[in-house]
Amino acid sequence: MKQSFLLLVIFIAAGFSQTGREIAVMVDESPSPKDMSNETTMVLTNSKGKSRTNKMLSKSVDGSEKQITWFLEPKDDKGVAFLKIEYSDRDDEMRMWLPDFKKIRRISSKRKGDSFMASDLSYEDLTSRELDKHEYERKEDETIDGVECYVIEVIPTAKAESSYLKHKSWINKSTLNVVKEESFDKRGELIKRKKFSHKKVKQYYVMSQIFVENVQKKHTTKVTFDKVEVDVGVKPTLFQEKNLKRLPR
Amino acid sequence: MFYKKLILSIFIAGTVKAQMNIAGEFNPYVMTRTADQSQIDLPFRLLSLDFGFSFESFDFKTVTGVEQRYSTREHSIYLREAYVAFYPNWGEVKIGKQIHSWGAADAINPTDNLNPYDYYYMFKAGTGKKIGKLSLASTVYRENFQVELIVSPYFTPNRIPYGEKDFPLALDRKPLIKHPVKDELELGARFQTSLGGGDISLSYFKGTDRMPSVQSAYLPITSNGVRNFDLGYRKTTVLGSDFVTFLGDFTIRAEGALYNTKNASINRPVNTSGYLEIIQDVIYSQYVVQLEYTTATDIMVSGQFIGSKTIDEKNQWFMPKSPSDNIEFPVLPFNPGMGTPFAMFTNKAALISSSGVMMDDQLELIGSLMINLNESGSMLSIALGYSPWINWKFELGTTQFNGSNNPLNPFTLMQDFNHVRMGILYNF
Repeated sequence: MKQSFLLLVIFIAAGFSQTGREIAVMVDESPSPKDMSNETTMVLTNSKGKSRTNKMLSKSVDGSEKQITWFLEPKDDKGVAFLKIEYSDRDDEMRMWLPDFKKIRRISSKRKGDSFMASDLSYEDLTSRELDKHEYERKEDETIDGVECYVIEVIPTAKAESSYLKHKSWINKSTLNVVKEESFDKRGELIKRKKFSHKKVKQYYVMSQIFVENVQKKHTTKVTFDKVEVDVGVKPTLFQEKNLKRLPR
Repeated sequence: MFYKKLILSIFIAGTVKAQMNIAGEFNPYVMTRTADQSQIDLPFRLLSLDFGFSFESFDFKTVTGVEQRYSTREHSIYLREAYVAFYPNWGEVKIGKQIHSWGAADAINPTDNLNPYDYYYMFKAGTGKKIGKLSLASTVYRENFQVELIVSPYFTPNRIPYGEKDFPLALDRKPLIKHPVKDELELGARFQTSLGGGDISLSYFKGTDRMPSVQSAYLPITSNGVRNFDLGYRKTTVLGSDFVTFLGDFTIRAEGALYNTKNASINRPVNTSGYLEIIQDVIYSQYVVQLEYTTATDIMVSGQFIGSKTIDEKNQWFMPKSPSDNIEFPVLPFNPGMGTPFAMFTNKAALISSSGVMMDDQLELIGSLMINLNESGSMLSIALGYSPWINWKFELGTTQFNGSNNPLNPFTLMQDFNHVRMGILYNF
């Protein structure tokens, strides 16, 4: 009994002793699939409750460091495709295939705050956060919908070239998934509230839904990931310009 | 007969397992002249239908256009593209009637000379203004570069509106081409690589001008002063380069091409009495520099500086029957037969464009202003697209040319084309 009590004390002490950065490292190092593919449905809803739906196919490797997305709906966007390759030592590479122009257009990865397809998600929201380009501060743990969470504040450094001042993230203690996040603009005002749902596919917890509310624009985006497949052997050669031009079968 | 059956069998076998794709757009619209509210009577593309299927590493794709003219209620159906594409691991191979696109800048691409232009659709965005051409194209992709080769066996000229009273720059009648193109083969090659956070490319193209030019003439000048000129097409070689790079929040896209155009060898008439030929060797350039910025509200603003220049011009008339004779015969002003169609308006211009969407992508606003930097002249274009339901868009736009007192100023000539455009676009 004494032994159990001692172990509990050590566990709690260890839990509290973890810094924000250590939690971020744990999240970063939690098992993630080598590759992933899914069908994405993105529903944009304005302040009047009017909705528009976009559908996409997406494949990624290395925790979405390389990602290719083909747009299926609406029909005037069908065939448009987006390729993103992240680099740690230089600017990311982003290209769009525009079938009406038969051109691959290189787009700037520096304007990370630009909206992705008129949604409440910016290109930055879709990019992995590099550990060393952010600072972390641990806040008091909270329980969200019955789930015990670590709470950390993520502050982008100048190197991150972020469009945000900071984020507040709630991390599920048992799965190490981010379940909720609040993002603040450069003035320090809350701009986005995000909620994340996950499901277990093979041994991984993968995202099944993101709900983003832009509190300043009173606009929401719900992204649902269906037909999620992991570790199916997506080849790195997929992330080439030529594959933007062709919808996968 | 055997081959037809074989092809049909392959087609049927292919379609059984293939993934079929059908898409397109239905786009009826009317253009009304600003001056007197009369309807501009020009044919327009009412329907564009993409049909294709994919099978393993192969794609078969067709793009069909239906062109309509309100006044005569005539319509024509034509195949804009029909090609087979093969995607091996190393790249892609495409064969058939197809449209290619080169260049880094938006809308104005001096390096993009692979396809002829359809001047009826000169103000249409994207590939809508180009004519498909039978060609074999192959691109090899490597880690940090790509090489594209294009071979086209047949010559196709630009489609020019002849005898169209509602198209201001149209000629009264289709000129007779006395010197048909003998060597129709065209070649293009493009190398692209990433460099310092951007992309750079070098290109080469050798082909035939898309616009006819004077090749020969007969002496004497007729009594009413009309010179008897014969038209043909020059051969042109184009060396091009384009790049895209990023500077802070700005994107810079630039493109330039150096053209060398020469007369092609022509069939001389048997009776060469009074017959003259021109030896022409002209070097000219076209370029565009584009600076682009996207605002925090997702409005894209871009400024382009567009220019063209004749660098070296050699014109010499000679009489094949007696080459030693000194010929005094007027040389017409040089007109490029290849390059961006906007060069016919001016040789120095600034183009400011802006586009943005609002109301959750429902409302799209596009505006552009072209200013002639050589003499007075401008073109203002504003387009508004409202999409109340998914895949449907109501379009309203206007294009206004403003010239000068000079009646030969192209912007003055285009003033009669000032119009308001209304239409419906349905994507399926």
